[in-house]
Amino acid sequence: MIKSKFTTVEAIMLVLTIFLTPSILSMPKNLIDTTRSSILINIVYVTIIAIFIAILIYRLLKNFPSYDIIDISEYLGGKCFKSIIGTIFILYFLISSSILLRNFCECLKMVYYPMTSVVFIILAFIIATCLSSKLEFSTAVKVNVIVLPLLVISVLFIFFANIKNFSFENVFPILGEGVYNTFIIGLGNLGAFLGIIILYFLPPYLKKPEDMKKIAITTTIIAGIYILFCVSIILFMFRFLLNVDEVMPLYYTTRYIEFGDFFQRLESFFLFIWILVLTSFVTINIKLSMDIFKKLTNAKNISPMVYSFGLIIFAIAIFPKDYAVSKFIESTLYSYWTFGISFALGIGILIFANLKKRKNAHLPKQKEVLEANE
Amino acid sequence: MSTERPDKAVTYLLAGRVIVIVNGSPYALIMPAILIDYLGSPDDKNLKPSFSNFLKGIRVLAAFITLLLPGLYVAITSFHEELLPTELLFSILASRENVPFPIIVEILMMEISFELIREAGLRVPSPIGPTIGIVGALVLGQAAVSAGIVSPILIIIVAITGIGSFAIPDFSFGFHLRITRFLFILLGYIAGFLGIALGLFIYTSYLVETKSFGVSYTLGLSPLDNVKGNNYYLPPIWKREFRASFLNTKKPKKQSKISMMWKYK
Amino acid sequence: MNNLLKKFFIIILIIVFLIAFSSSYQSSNIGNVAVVVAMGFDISDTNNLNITFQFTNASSVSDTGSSEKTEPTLFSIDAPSISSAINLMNTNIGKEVNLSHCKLIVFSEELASRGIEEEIYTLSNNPDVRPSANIVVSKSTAKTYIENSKPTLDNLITKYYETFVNSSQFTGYNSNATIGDFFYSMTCDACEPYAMLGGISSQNSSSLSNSSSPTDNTIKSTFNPASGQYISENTGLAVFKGSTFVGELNEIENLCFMIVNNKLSGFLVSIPNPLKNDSFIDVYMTPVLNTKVDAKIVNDSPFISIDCNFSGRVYSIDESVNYSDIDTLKQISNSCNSYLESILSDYLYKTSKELNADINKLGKFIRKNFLTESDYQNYNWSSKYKDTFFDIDVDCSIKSSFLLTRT
Repeated sequence: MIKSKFTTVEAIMLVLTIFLTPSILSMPKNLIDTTRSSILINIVYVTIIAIFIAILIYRLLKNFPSYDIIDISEYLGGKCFKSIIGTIFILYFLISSSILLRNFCECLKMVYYPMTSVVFIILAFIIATCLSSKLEFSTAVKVNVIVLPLLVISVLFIFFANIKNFSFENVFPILGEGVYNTFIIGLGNLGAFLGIIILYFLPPYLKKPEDMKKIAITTTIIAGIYILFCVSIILFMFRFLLNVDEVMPLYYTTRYIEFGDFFQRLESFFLFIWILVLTSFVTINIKLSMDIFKKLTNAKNISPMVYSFGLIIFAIAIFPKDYAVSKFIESTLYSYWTFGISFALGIGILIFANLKKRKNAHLPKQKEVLEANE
Repeated sequence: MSTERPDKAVTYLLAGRVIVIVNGSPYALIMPAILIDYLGSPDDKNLKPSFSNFLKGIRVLAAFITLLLPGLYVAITSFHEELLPTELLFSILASRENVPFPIIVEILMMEISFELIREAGLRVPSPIGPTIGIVGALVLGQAAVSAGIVSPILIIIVAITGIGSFAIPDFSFGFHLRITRFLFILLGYIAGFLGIALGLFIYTSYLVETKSFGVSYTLGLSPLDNVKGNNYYLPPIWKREFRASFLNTKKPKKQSKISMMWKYK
Repeated sequence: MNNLLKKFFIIILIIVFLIAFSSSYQSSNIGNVAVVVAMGFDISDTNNLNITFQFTNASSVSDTGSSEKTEPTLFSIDAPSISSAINLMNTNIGKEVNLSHCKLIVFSEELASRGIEEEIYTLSNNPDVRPSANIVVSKSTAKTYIENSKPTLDNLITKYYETFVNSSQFTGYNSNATIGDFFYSMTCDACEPYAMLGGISSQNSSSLSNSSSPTDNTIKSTFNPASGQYISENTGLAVFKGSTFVGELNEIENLCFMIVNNKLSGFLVSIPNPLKNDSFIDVYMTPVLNTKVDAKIVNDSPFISIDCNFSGRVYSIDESVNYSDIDTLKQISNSCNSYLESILSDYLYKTSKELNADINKLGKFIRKNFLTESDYQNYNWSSKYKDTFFDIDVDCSIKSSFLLTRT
């Protein structure tokens, strides 16, 4: 039984955290890599597709009011299937947090803590998230409502502060690598909307479940606009980034912000905000994993599990040997794998569950007809 | 929240809060109390709204300064000196040239001295009490700089932090900030902005978790929380229509939409 | 017991983090860093890099509160690379060299002609180095240039490094070339990098000033007619092709560069006087609109048209001329137009035919003629730039003179 209930605004912020946090790392660069200068067209195209997917998910979830995907998978395949699906999603949340955490900590180490082992930087994050995960889920969501707008403001600030360095001609050639790359291969950029996975878990948490459609569409549109801003900053400022790999593209752009002689090198403030956002992201992932775990095991008190999940994230985060391996995992493996979970698995379960429900709804009617004929 | 002022207690009572008065105690307890209540003064409602909102902004800034300024100073000088303009960096370097202690020792020494002076000022007999506080701080600071024990910039940081803590109306709120800032100094020293950001996150989480008689302590902190009458921004007197919505009062509206009917008649 | 264990655990954690982060603290703590304000790169006798670091001591503040100006300190190291030079420097001075306040990076002409790709990549890869640090190619050695970079009207050398490029916005005789922009242009396929041209004024500057032409189009660093003590100069532009220094631009060509790239707030130009032969008048121009660049491909050759729009006021005025008369102003406008068109044309053809280096980033305008990246890459702009035709149209509207309109 889920205790915490969120308002519509809190739910929107919760979904947006999962959407927007990967943008502080190499997500914008990965998006640009496939389509080059046609990225803006591609993002608009992919956002429209994502909106349709969000509406589809809402429609499929509508037939199971206040059920999340774990409950639906139990309805579909029984307790065994529920356990499998629950485990997959727990692993997804933990691994996605670990990979992002590792890459961010590598960047922090490179910039500010060159002599410190990355293990200790990750450990600092884990301790902070474990401490905040011991509190209620609603606390984490309320903190997120305070912290996430800072991320959006920071990106908007980067955009407008760097506008004097923009070359708007970088949008040409308009079709980038060609129509095929922009619209077919560019579909891979749907990976920017992998945060849609959180919509599967949202219904039981909502105070007003009738707002689910509004939440789904609003979050997808805001995420699309935000990602458009992120890629625009990089495309308009650094065409050379198409040829050069950069650790944190948005961080790189913050190094160019200056106002006169006094305000220069403001990137530390942005890293400060992004540390808060990432901590919020990991906390929310841990809380979601704990709630799924509670559903799977029917445990009474799962608060000690915080430390176990924290340890798992820590272990996965320190697993890659170096930054190259973790970057590879983030840009390649993680994107394809989570594509499968977010879209294929999630929508597949919902479709089959809906089909089963429709079949079960017809069965009593058939029974009545048969009895009437007798 | 506790208060000795009858006008403050009455204002909150009329706003819909619950007051507890105990025979023998000079304090009245007001509940529930949210974060912004501790940054408000009873005189605010009697001033022009622009003045009181300005003062509230100053107090919020004072709260941030009291909590974070020493920690940020330690973090920036230890890990993030590229943030400082070059001339300011050289001023700090110049002022620290002859100082034998590291920044953390300096700052802890001065902060603790300031707290000692403050506490001593309370117990000294009243004719010379306030003077001791002011003169002691000035003389101690100047003597420490002349002796080369601390840098002048640090005295400014400690002084601004101290003045910030005096600007907070509620004593217990100011006190908690004074204690918590030592934690942020330590975090800033250990890990710079990373330490302070993580500390701030945990601190905010615990603040948000806190409830005052069922009401979230940080209600209305985010502009996205649509809370009426939340006290963060004081509207003009003719616009103060609603009581705080989180109090679930019997009469949520305290004045009609157009309260100055005499103006239109 | 539980509480005690918790407290013990917390103390252990604090100690662990203190130890873990202490090494980073040691290296970046304000008391342990030596702040570099300028770096110079030369070729040493052993064919290595000779890197000069300029440190400045913080001004010591005396009891009376006045600050004493302390001279910057220079150290030079012979090393095969920047990183090994920094390593050696750390050993020699006993402090960690910190490049986060380095405002000036100077390359000698000799080194720049050899190619500076490795140095630029290393500097851009360093998280300390500011992208806004200015890059200079010095006609003398970098060490001599830095030694002679002495502020005459400022107290602090860092203030001088920050402000000396500000004049570029209203004179156009030098440019605010930064290492961030240099790196961008070097790796970009549609443009070439540039740097400021620096040098030391020679003692025979007075003889040079007599031989310089009245339109001052030979003025650049080391040929600057300004006389004084040994001072460093920053006039003109150093043009690069890839990472190799290929040519110089004098101050008028630098002005044209600033016009084409919309970097000017205003500039003073001496135009032939249409009302009197063998005489010149000074006009102060301010841009009305940004310079418009339109690029087309005609018969496989690029055709670039440039439209500039200025508003001007006459500075130097003559006797018995009415500067509020429309005909007079029109004549002066026409003279301005033709003068600016000719210098812009000379400049653009110099960069394309002679230097074959697109420092004006005109390649980005040609991109809109292509639908896909591969079409653009196949066109190979960098080889086509030398075949470019330019059509320049300048429209100057001279308003009047300043305080005196009729004499």
